[in-house]
Amino acid sequence: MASMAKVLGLIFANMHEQTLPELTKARAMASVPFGSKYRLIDFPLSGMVNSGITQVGIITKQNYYSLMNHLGMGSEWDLARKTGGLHILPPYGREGAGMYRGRLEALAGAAEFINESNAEYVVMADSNVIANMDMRPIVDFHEKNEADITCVYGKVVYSTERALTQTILCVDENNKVYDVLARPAMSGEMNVALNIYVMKRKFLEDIIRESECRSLYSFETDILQHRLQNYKVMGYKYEKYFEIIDSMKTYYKATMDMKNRDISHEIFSLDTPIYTKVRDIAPAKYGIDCSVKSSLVADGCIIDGIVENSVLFRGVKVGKGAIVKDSIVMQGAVIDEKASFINAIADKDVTITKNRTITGSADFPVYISKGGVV
Amino acid sequence: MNYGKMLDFHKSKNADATIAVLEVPWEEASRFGVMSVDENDTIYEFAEKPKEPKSNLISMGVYVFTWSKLRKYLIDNENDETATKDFGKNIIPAMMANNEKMVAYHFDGYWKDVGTIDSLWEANMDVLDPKVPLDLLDNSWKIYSRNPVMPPHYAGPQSRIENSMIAEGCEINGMIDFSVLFAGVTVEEGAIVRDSIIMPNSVIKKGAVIEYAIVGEDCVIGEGAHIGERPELIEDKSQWGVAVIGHRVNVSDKAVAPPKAMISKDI
Repeated sequence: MASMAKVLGLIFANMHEQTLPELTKARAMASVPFGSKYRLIDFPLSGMVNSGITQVGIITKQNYYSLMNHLGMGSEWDLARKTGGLHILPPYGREGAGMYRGRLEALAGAAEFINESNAEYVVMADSNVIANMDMRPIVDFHEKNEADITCVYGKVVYSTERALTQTILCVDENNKVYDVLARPAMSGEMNVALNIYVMKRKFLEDIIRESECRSLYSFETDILQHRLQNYKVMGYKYEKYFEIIDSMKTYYKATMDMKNRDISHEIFSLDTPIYTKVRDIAPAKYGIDCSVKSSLVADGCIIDGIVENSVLFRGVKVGKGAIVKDSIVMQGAVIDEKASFINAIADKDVTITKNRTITGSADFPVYISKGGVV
Repeated sequence: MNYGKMLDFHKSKNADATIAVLEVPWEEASRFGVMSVDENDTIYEFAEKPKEPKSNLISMGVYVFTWSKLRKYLIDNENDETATKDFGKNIIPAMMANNEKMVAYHFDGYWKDVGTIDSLWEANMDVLDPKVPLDLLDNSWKIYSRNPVMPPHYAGPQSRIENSMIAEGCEINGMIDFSVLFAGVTVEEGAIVRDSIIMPNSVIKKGAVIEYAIVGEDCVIGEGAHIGERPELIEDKSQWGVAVIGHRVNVSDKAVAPPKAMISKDI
């Protein structure tokens, strides 16, 4: 098995924000709250750490205050280290860098960090895939196939409605990628790229340098599509649970998936845990005449009402006679007495006042933005 | 407890030692170190666990000393070969005898000595009582602890939880009432947990009943087992008390642990 100590992890914190404009208005994609106490970045970052990767760079673009606050020194991921460890890479990290247009320009901005890592391999990932992924077999696969680029993909029922960011890979029986399609007008089960790539560091550095000379900025279009014939590009099929979050609908679905016991036990496996920032908050408190069924509840919640089929983040208050059903309620939000909150998403610190009724539908949940009082 | 306030009090009194004190019912005073104070809160008498207490002000075991004084009395005590080197028996009486300025600091917050099974159980139940002034959710005065890496807890479709505190990683499908569940506890369908404390990672199997009990860490309580009993169902109250299952004990299906039981091996 590959020595993961020689692998550098890179996570793109701001990719695909246009697909989730409500939740990324005031925060990076990577720090979108998910699953009752986590942020999206916890999934790729914990996956890397559980796979033995000890140096990780987080490539940022904008809105990264909440992300920095969340990551801190990286101690929760055991990445507060003297060698390697966690590095947040801001967009203006070097002369001439700035607001990048695509993955290649973003990588060019991090070129010095990549070079100094001295790693043999680089694993890149975005922040919008929920999975508890072991990356060791992917690096092994890459090594064994002597590939230039390994792309991780999964089978997804694809439709043009989900096409905003998705790349389809055509893979032959020897796992070689022979065609790459961006946002095709097709539907059915397809090999959708999870935007997780493995390359040799030297190879990546060559690509970055060449792309800069030619003003290329999109890894998917300029490298995977246009230069597919020049390289050995392999497809690694990921067969365990994953969900790509690329719309409010998929965010809602993936959140609700965490209530499924089999999925939850896989994603929050005690052997390869998902780490997150800890809060030192007391356990949830259930009051008189409350009823909570088929729901995930984080620490610090105070529940005096009815909660069904919902996901409550830390410190949520559900007042007497209030009803929360098929909903996601983020940290610090209050559903006051006798209010109803059904098929809806409340961002952080939202207040739904007494007797108020908010109702969305399962395929179009109502969203209340951060701090809103309704 | 805000020790800063006590230190401010110590300084304002220009004291050599300040001892935090609490008023307890007279009949309980003989279990503690008892303090007699004058109208200025100056301590004029100290008695360790007296048979006939002269006061119902007891020491909480929280002290503020002026550093140089404490150092002097510790060195003197160390050099005294006849001394028992006991804080309550040597240092405090020696300071009293030398007329050092000893004052009592009246603490009016929540305090409970959890040195017995019953008091440990009561303190946990106090956490659930909104009338008890112990707010663990006060963000301005957090109680820090180790945070286990666990997902949020899951209340399943069959769960009925009321009046309880549930930590992360729990999976509940039974009925929980007036109980405190630590991280990673599983309560299966049809199980009942009432007026009890369940410590981390224990599993309560289907149909088991736990009442007025403390279950330790990593225990398995088998299907249909019955731990503890409600006091109203016991005629002879002297036979009633909190049942305790020690850490890592397996209780087999349908086994019974009566009230007051102390189980430390598998049954």
